[in-house]
Amino acid sequence: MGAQLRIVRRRIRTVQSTKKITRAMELIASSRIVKAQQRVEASRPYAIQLTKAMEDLARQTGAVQHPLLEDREEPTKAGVLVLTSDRGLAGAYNANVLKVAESVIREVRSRGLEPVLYTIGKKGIGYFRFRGIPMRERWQGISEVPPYEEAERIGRTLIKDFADEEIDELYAAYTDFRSAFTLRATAQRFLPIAPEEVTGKGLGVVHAEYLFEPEPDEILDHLLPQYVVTKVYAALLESAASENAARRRAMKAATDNAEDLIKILTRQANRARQDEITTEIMEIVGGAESMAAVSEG
Amino acid sequence: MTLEVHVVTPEREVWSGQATEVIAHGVDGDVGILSGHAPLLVHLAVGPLQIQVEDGTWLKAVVDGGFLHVSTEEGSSRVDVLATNAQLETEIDVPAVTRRLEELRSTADGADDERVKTEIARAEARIALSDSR
Repeated sequence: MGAQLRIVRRRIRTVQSTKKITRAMELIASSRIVKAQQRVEASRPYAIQLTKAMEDLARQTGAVQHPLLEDREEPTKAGVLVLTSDRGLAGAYNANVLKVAESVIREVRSRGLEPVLYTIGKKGIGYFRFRGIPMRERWQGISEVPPYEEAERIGRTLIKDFADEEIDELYAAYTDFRSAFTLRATAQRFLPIAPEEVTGKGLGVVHAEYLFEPEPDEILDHLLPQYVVTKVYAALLESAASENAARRRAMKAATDNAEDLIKILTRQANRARQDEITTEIMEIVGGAESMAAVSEG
Repeated sequence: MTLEVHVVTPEREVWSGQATEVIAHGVDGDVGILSGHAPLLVHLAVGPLQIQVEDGTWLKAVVDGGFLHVSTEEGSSRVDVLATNAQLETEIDVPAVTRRLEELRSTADGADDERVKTEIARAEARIALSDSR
């Protein structure tokens, strides 16, 4: 076998095994998207009802007042929560959300505030560490299948830092899962909670006999932090679904590329083989002719 | 007249259906809700949740704190139990919880760790529920 043919065949084998891996990762990501989507769906009833309870409370008590709802008069530090993945091979997923995070950081700096980073996911941690940007907290190992307990832990940490005035505002950069085809890296303000989020449309019946146990203020003390935790959890779930969608897309593209490459390489291999055969026949014919010429002579 | 009951946690809907009565454990004491109850918002402690289903049987569950919200619209009442975590009686693995509780008690001797305390309270609520049947 000719040297060229051997090289081409070896490359075909390499590309084929790569294709098998990317194809497997594509399938795994597909099944995880479905699960992640189900988790997003399953978390909705709670979030909706919690918001309703809060709106009711706000409506009944008139003007609600709570430290978590109030803009600080002279903010000096702004927390930025960045949700990235632990693993790569997800196309531009991490790059996009980090771009949004950077623009939030720039915006915060332009207002004269010091950004304080909270990073979820190895990719984000690596990104900021490489740039020498300090992080106040970092979490990893939860991005693909985020458990609720972790969301609660992260949420409580953020609320505590806000209460202790370690941060005066909090923004979150994460990826919104619109559909398997539309992922949007986005930024949202988590703290202080915008009062209109709590009061809702404001229309509704005020019941004179509305009961609260304990007092509305005390309930609010628990309701608002729970609301923040729920938002952190929702952002984690949306990001997990997005991560898997991005990974599936990236792996599908890689599989398709591998297929194209195999096609091209197979053609090259065939041509090399045919060339070899042609050369061989030419040699035989040439040899036979010269033999004939000798015997005739 | 029945109540429309939904027991939800951030992770899933634990139970939903029609009921005649709901008894929950609030931080300021137990609350019982029948149809037509005034709108209500209660902060729940770790403890049992009892729901009398339409056929008269009681459905028991344990709630790890949260809120109970009663809203009345056009005469029909709706009860939403928003729990941080909740388990139906049938979902509780009693031997496992008992083991975990012993483990917690032995390690947390006198320790003032808030998280351990909460976990002990949660485990105790589960065992109390299974004992009461």
